[in-house]
Amino acid sequence: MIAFHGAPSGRSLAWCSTLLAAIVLPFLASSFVTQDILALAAWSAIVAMSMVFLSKYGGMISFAQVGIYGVGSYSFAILAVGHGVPWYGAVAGALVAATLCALLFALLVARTYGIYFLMVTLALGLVVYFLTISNYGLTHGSGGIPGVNPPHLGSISLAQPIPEYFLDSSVAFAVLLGLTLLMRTQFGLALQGCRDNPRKMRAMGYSVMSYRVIAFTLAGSIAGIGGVLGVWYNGIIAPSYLDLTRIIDFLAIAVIGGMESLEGTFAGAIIYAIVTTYASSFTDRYNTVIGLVLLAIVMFAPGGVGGLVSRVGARLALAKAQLTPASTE
Amino acid sequence: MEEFALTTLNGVAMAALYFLVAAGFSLIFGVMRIVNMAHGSLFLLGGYLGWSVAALTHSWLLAIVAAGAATAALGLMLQQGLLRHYQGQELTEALITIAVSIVIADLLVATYGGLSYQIPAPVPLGHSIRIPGTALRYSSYSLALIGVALATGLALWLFLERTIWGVVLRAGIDDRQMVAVLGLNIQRIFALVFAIGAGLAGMAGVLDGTLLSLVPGVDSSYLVAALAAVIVGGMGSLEGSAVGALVVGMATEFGIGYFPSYAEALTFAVMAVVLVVRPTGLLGKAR
Amino acid sequence: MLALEVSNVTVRYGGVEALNRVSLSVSEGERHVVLGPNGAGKTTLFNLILGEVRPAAGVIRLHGEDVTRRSVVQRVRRGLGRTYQQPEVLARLRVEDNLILAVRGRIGPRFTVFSKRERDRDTRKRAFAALNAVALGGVAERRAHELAHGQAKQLEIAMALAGGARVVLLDEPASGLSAGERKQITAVIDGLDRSVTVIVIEHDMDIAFHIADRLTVLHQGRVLACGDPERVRAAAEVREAYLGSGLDG
Repeated sequence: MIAFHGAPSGRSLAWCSTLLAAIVLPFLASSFVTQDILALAAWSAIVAMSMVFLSKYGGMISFAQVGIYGVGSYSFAILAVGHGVPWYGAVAGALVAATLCALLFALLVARTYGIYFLMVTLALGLVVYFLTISNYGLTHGSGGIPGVNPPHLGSISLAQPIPEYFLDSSVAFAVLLGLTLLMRTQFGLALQGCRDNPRKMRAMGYSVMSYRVIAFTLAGSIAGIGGVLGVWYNGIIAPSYLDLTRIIDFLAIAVIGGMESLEGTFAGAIIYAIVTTYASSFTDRYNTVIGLVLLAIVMFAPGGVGGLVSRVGARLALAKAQLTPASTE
Repeated sequence: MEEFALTTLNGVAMAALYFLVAAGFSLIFGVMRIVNMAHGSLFLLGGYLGWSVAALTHSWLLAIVAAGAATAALGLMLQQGLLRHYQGQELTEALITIAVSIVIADLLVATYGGLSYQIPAPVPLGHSIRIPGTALRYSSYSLALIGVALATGLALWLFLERTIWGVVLRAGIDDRQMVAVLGLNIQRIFALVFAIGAGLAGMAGVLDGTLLSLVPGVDSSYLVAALAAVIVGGMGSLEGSAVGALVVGMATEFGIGYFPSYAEALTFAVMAVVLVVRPTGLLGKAR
Repeated sequence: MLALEVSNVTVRYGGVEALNRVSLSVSEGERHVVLGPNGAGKTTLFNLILGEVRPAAGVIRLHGEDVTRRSVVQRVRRGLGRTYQQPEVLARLRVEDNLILAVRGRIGPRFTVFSKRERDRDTRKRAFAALNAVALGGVAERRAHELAHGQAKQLEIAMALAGGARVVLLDEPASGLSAGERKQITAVIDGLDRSVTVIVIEHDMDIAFHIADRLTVLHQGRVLACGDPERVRAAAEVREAYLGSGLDG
């Protein structure tokens, strides 16, 4: 399936060096950078990936992902803090809850397309937010549920910067790998067909709705994973973690990375973490900065970082092809 | 019984506000296919501006006129300065309005802080009156609000049904290519629609700031109300916005009145039922 | 045996009757051409046979089985395939993948995430068989949106056939093509295996009468004439309504 060449290609070289940097960096950086930039970026990228996955392979721009992520966070917090369920049970519960919520949403939105899909999912995402505010019994209103602690594995506390970073980044990497491989299967190919032309896919014998429901539900599970890691990182979950500003935060990560690039979410998340961290140290108006950055990217680099990289890559490949006389055509 | 009647009246008053927000949102979507995510921010901006003008001049009327004019102008700038260059690129347009909404929301927090503001009601409407034929007393301002929404709806209806611009607009909603073929200046129509939609949102902000209060966050609650109204009622039609606003307004007030802890669940349930039974909305055209 | 039988079908859009008590019988292996001016209801008839449009009255049988209440997907898996007037392909996927999906849409597997070498080889064999049948083997690696209009139409025919379709509906296969491409597409249709039943909407009279075993003429949602080429050509009302009025461009 995979073609092996004698010499390492530029692509695999880039991958290896990124991986190496990802392993070495936390030991060189301060614990502040490891936790507040790198770990934050890693789990944020997971939530953004659930959005980019749907957009890139399913043609669905979903704004409900942050709501589903919130269902994951809240479920973990309610189970672990409210009911004293052990962490692995709470994690399982959170993933099941996020997945079921995503399945419910998927069944509602699977028949809508394009910009209308965007609108409906935004409404669904915001409904989750408003529900968490007005509900006291379960979600404790606008105060939320504080005191959420990440588990200890033996003697290692996952609240420590380096263990937390390695947990978050390896889960993020596993999600990236899993989605990439899944999209090479028959299922992935058919999902992309549904993205390109739903009517034609139906006329070819495919139940388009099923593919959209499965993809949306899967993306919901991934957002749920992000929700668990996110609530471990924040230590608290409250409605303000799900409001329109936060929906836009994750959207900004996806857009900065490129809506057509799963790997791009890592770049997007790191850039985003840096901008928010350092912009907030010299101005209170960092949301304005984010807004302007988003505007600039949408207007001048619509492919985001991922788009820029692949454009440069294509240019390099072209240059290489022109240099190699043996190339046919 | 009295509680039920009051909740119903509250629902209608809420629906009146939702209608003003949703009508502009839906009109913009119907004509230009733009999901104006800055609609909530324009609403909040209008409310705050209205408060400032009212505080300076002590004139409620001046406040609402100024707020409407300022947000209409801002909407026009947004459409002409940014959105016009990306016509037909639906996602790009939505993202641009999102970016603008963050900036507006943030600048409003910077200017007005997190406090709650209320605009004093115009003097003749500052008290409650008895509803003829019943023992019920109800805020005269809320009743006036319902009247304003009805009048606005009627004016929009006349504009859409009785003027040449309206004919072109409705043609544009049904068949976007045709308008271009007719050789009418579609750009001018787009600009006008965007200004009207934004102005309505700004005026609704003042109306809301008088009825309830203005705090950061009401922008997204009105955005979601507009979305829900449009999803329930159907895209791009005035009647759809009215029906949708009424349903969502009722769902909101009855939710708050009877099971406050799950109030939004009712809105969600209504939306879910409509999405399953009629994905294009109650009055939306089947595609 | 009849491959397809449409009896007394009526389709309404709003208050308008797009098809009015239309009947059509096509035997197995037959080449059947549907003629008619614009707005006669030809494409509606195809949408109806595929199941994209539901009839207000009437019955549709595929190889003797009543499929009137069956979904598009169920009909396709029973051997029905179609092309569209404006070629509909999976634009961002490679030509090869378009065909692999077409094969698997009909015979499966459709959801699998585990590939089995044996099965994959079989799918690819079938995909390339369909691709070579329309002489597109050379562009298998291209993305479908990079194809020329004529190539896209050929790809669509290959996709409609792939995986063992038994009845295919071709909606104006020659429209928008150059004279050379028309010859090529006619040759493709001529070359189709006789086990496959082919129903074609075509405006080009030369092509229509060249490929047709039998023809049906639709006019304003009704069947005006039906029969072998000579009879249809001779029918006076057809002449008046269609052939003589210069609408055949």
